[in-house]
Amino acid sequence: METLAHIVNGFSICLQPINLWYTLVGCFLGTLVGVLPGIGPAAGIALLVPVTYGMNPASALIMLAGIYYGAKYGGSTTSILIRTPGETASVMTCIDGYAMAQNGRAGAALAVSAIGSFIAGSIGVVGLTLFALPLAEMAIEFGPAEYFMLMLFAMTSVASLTGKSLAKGMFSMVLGLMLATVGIDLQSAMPRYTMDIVEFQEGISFVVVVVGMFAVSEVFQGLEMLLRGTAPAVIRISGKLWLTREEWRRSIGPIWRGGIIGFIIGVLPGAGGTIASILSYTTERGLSKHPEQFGRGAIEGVAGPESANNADTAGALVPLLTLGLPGGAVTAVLLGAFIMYGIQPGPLLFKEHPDIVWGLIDSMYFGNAMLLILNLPLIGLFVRLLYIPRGILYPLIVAISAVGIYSINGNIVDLYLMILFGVVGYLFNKADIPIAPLVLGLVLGDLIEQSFRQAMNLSDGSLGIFVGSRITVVLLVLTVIAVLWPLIAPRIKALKTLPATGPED
Amino acid sequence: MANRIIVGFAVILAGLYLYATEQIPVVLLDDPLGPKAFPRLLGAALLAIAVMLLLESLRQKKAGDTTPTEGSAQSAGWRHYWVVGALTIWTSLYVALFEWAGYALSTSIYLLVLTAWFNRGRWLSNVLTAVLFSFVSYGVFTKLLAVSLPRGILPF
Amino acid sequence: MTFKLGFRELSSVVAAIGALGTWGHAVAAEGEAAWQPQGPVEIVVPTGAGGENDRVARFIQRIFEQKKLVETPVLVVNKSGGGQVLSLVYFAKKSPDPHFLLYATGTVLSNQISGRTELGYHDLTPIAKLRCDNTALTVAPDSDMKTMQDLIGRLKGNIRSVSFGGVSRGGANNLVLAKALRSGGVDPSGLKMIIFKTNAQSMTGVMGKHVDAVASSVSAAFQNFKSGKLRILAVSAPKRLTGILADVPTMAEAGLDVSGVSNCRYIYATKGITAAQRAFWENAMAAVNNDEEWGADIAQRNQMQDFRRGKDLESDLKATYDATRAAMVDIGLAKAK
Repeated sequence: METLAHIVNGFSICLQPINLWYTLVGCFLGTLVGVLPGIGPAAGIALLVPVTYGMNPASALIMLAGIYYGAKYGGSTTSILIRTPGETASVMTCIDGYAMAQNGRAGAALAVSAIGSFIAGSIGVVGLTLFALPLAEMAIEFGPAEYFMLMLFAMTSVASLTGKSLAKGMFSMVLGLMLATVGIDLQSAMPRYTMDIVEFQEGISFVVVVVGMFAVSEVFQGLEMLLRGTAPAVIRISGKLWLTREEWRRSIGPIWRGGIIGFIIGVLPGAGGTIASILSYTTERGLSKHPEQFGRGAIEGVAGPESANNADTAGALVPLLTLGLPGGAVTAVLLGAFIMYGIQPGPLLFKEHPDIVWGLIDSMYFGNAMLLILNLPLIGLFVRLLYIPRGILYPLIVAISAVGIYSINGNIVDLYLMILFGVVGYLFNKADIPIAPLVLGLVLGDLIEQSFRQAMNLSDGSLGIFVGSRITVVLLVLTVIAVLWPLIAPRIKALKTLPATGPED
Repeated sequence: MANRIIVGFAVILAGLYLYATEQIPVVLLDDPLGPKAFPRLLGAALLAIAVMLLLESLRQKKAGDTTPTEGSAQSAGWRHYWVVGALTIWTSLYVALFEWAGYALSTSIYLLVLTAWFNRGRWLSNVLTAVLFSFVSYGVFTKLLAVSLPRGILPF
Repeated sequence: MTFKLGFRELSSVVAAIGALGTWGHAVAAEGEAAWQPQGPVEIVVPTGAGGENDRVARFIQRIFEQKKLVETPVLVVNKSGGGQVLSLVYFAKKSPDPHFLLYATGTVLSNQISGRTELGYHDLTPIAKLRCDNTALTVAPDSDMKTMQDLIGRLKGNIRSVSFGGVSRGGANNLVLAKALRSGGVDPSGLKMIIFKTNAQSMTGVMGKHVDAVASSVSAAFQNFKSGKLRILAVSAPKRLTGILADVPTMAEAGLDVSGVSNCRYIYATKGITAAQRAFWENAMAAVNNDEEWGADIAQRNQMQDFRRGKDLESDLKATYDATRAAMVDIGLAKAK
């Protein structure tokens, strides 16, 4: 009851005009940071923290949080239009979102990612309002063995991304896993495959590989086709900018499921929005009646992951607010901002500063609504980007990618790597090797190896640790089902159709 | 044909990777698996995939249906690989000049040349795009977002 | 901020003209410090935008501007990568330009010791030591280890009977742990160390009983200690901390020597700057150190203010280097000389 009073009081705080204004400012800046590739919400918030000195803490935190979830809305835009993820969690959207744009459905892809983000973002905030404390307990149950099983489950999604040839898909994935091993090894502090190049010590940056292989390779291929005259002059936008009834029907399920998956994954420190969107993609492909459309512009492949990575934001606030533990870079910056105002997130926060905490959480309901209102009219504007003649658009994509990547570390070697991976991506396309498994291998490889070694060290080399808790057993069962699904699914369908065909026989 | 190249590449890469794996120094004895175990597994997996690919391409050859289309697609492609080569070199030059000439200047030049090549004849729109984009994005990043980009030889 | 930055370009020109007038007189009155920045100043941060180092560097930038310690524009530049080595490479190339400052951690010392780079603090001009984090050794509240002696007793029985979480092998907290255990008679090279990517993972690790103990900064453990979800066995501070941490014994009280290995932040200038240039930056940093908000920020994070300059700083750096090297040799991370 007391909590309910605090929640209501939170609304009275976030509804103050000044706080609504800062919610709007935060959401707007977040969208901007999200649209610009490279610079992500962590850097965006860090750069704006100094501006908030002297502001009332509730207003400041409301604005900074707005940048966080606002960036997730913006991140999908460039993924869909120019195959350049504006933010790492949008990488899955590069696959089907870009394919939809090529099919003339850019408007629908942008619309579904905005609507999905709104619905899932709101699901996340409801989850945060109702379950923050019990979920914090769940996050603590996740140790190395549990993380390993989660990553193994995420790995099964590679099978859904392989395309025609299983061997080529596996080749791409193993290359990604190998790239993930470059750098100083976390457990032993020994350099691996760095070839004495200082820049490689922290590993190969995920963003550099993704921008190179998705965006730059697409530019190379596009310019080549332009010169050959086999590329259409302009991508035709077919139909309305909005969703068709059929597209809408197909998107509802993925949005809800993505929202729930994203929120739960977000609660786990160290997993994050990228993993959430990968899991959502896998789930949707597994459940789909037409899995062959995935990778060629299936709207479920946009709706699910985009929803998941927005719900992830609210999830990530759970361990931050209740335990004072930031699960990732963005929440670490937010923690810094809290401390700056003399507010320590953690178990006592909800008792010591209920007004600020609930004001912040409640403001996210309005922020999500503002983002929807802010982003929908922008669709018409963004889609116009596609009308730019390709001879101009393609070079611009390279320049945007370069400035985005340079803005992260200020490192020239990253730009050379971007070109290198652009060439690799181009060759992959020519040889019909899918790119997505490599990207997945690169994201998951490090987590898989390190969590496996952490667990084995803890158990002194016994594999029993992987069936040692309820969570690991559940994840193991899910993984087995996911692996066997292609074999099981046809039988289930056969069983379903049996009664219908039975009487005729 | 293409598959054979991938098989060869996979075998060479696996060999290099496994060799480099053995060069990793190990001084700590408290991690039972150590930094080499997972890479060894990956190297072996890549070799196994090479075998899979080889078998796949042999099966395709037997089926015989894909070879002609693949061949024609490639002969059309080879002639245009030089475009990609030129693009790679030009983009590398851009990156090489990035810090020295500064972001705004190097980007303007990079865009001018590419648009002049691929969007031939429309001088006014090309120049406007190249210069406006470079300087506006420079302003957005450095002034609005306080991200530092190379200033280079220009005074601002 | 945005408009202020735009305005700053203009103001720098004005300042350059007006410098000889106003600011010039002020320093001339102080006597020897006859130098002041002639152009934009870069504060180089060895880690990415958004991290704790970046935050503090931007804090310094703000004090420089607010107190008019530096009249020319001050930029914060992130040069992350290579485990902080890239920033050092970038910085060393700027010698002897006095318009560059490096905001650095103890990693400058350990990177040279581990052989990641040849460059070390001798290739820089130390300006000031600013603030230090203390290390806390934390266990779950219902752990049967109640003191450092309990912990050391168990390790002496079986070195692998206690698992330790941490975020960086060879990092400051890791080295404090190694040195403390060594002085308690335990060989730290055989410890069951579980390295996590983020602090959050190692703290949830100890709260969820996946690992038995965690060596982290006091600030990372503070909030959950306060609410009773964690117990701190000891802190590495030279004397007891204040507030609710006053009940926590120091390592020294437990009979363990952790002197020298520390987790501090420094400001360096490039090598080869003149005495006047060095004096200017030392005075500027002293003014930062006396800033009220700066002090409050350090207190809020349970850190210690430990300002040192000149000869004092150099001998302190030397002692820290030697202790860091000894601890790294002990756990096998130092490169053979």
